[in-house]
Amino acid sequence: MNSMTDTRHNHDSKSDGLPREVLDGLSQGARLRAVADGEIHEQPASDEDRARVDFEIELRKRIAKAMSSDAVAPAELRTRIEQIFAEQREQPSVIRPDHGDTRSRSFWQRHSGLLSAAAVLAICVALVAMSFNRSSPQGGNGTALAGITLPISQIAGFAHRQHESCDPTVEDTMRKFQARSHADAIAFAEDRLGSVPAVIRDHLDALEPEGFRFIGLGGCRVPGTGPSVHALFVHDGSGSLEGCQKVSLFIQADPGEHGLQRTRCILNRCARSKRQTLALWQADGFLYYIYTANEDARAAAQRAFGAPEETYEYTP
Amino acid sequence: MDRPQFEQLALEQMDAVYRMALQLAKHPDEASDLVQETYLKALRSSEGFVERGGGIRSWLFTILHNTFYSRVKREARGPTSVEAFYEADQREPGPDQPPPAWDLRSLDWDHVDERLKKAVEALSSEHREVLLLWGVEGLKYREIANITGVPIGTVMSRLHRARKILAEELEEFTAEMGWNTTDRQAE
Repeated sequence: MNSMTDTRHNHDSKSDGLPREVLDGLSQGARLRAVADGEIHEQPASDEDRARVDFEIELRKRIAKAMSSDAVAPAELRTRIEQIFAEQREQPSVIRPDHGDTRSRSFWQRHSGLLSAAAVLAICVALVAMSFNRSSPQGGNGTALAGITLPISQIAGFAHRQHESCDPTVEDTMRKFQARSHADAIAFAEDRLGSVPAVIRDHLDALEPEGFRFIGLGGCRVPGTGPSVHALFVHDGSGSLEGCQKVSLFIQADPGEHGLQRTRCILNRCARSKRQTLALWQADGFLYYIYTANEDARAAAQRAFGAPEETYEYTP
Repeated sequence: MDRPQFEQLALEQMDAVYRMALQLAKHPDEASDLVQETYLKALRSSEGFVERGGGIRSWLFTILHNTFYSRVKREARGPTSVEAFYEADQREPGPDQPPPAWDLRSLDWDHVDERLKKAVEALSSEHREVLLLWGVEGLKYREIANITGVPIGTVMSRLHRARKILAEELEEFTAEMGWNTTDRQAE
């Protein structure tokens, strides 16, 4: 029998962190690792056990050395958070959750009584929507979207978060948009995407007749395999779309494996809010995604940025 | 804890939080995004911060962990894969194998670090997170359990699994290089 097995139920072992029930149930291997980690204070019972403990101690040192060598928070991120802190100091009306709780109570916890009625309503709406899609002259998902492997719902959620997190009136939320001029945008896109999409090269001002000005281009991480960028257009008060504040355009290098047809634009109405729609299409080696809170602005952006006229709705 | 003190302590931990975010997200832009969201949430609930061991760093790690896995859950295509993600540990064997006994100090580590790094990066996110909280941040089992929201036994199980994979990788590497590691068990 191994020497450590003999001490397996040694109740004299001391631990400042492990509960007694865990301590009592430890196997030989787990006990040795806990000794090596300083979770249990006892001497190894043999040279062999000492060697095993030493192995674990050395391995931990090497992991620390190998993994902690280079990563520090970017200066730009640090500055951004410091400025958000400073801004919040001046605007103390922050949301305060219950004491001792990291998360605030969710909507569903606060409105559990509404759940049943909402579920029934949602099922009814879904049935009506499914019925509508089947009879749509533009075709349902089954025919138009067959073979497409793009994670559309995932991308819509991402686009919604990115779009909503940028407030043109709060500079700290806009710092990701490093390229603020046309020339900088071209250089930035070439650096990030490997080449310059036609929209950035030729049509960055195409939304200006509608009152939207290009504000900036920055890096982002659209779900999927290709590198991506985020361009933001903000309304200047002119034009017919005054009620819409901003339009986001995401562009992702297309590895060509998603099965999208170049002649079709897909509309995903099931983003975070059903009132908002993600429009996506493929052109000149890139995937384009438009996201905005205003349907008219979205349609205008599709036209301005050259999206295919033929559209299909995607309802996951 | 007053607001200025909270801000100072939180900002001091930013490198550690960013490092962990980078390990979870595996992309600098996404890591920055995660850290920003973590700090905003921390700021909003700073008055509710209660010291439960580990100080503000553990608390920030907890918010980061919850933020990251909320995103994973939200962005997953279907509920099945998310459940499988969280239940993976239920299928793992318990930590019942003793560690190897060979002498790591005899290795030429200049050649090993890169291999070790790649092996850590290849671990699943939940194993990598626990391993880094333990190995790089030096946290105790109980602190890691609090951050990740799993029992201590699960933390030990994940650590065992991750270390076993790394030990096997090291063994394979030394064999490839033709190095001789003294196995004190065999002495």
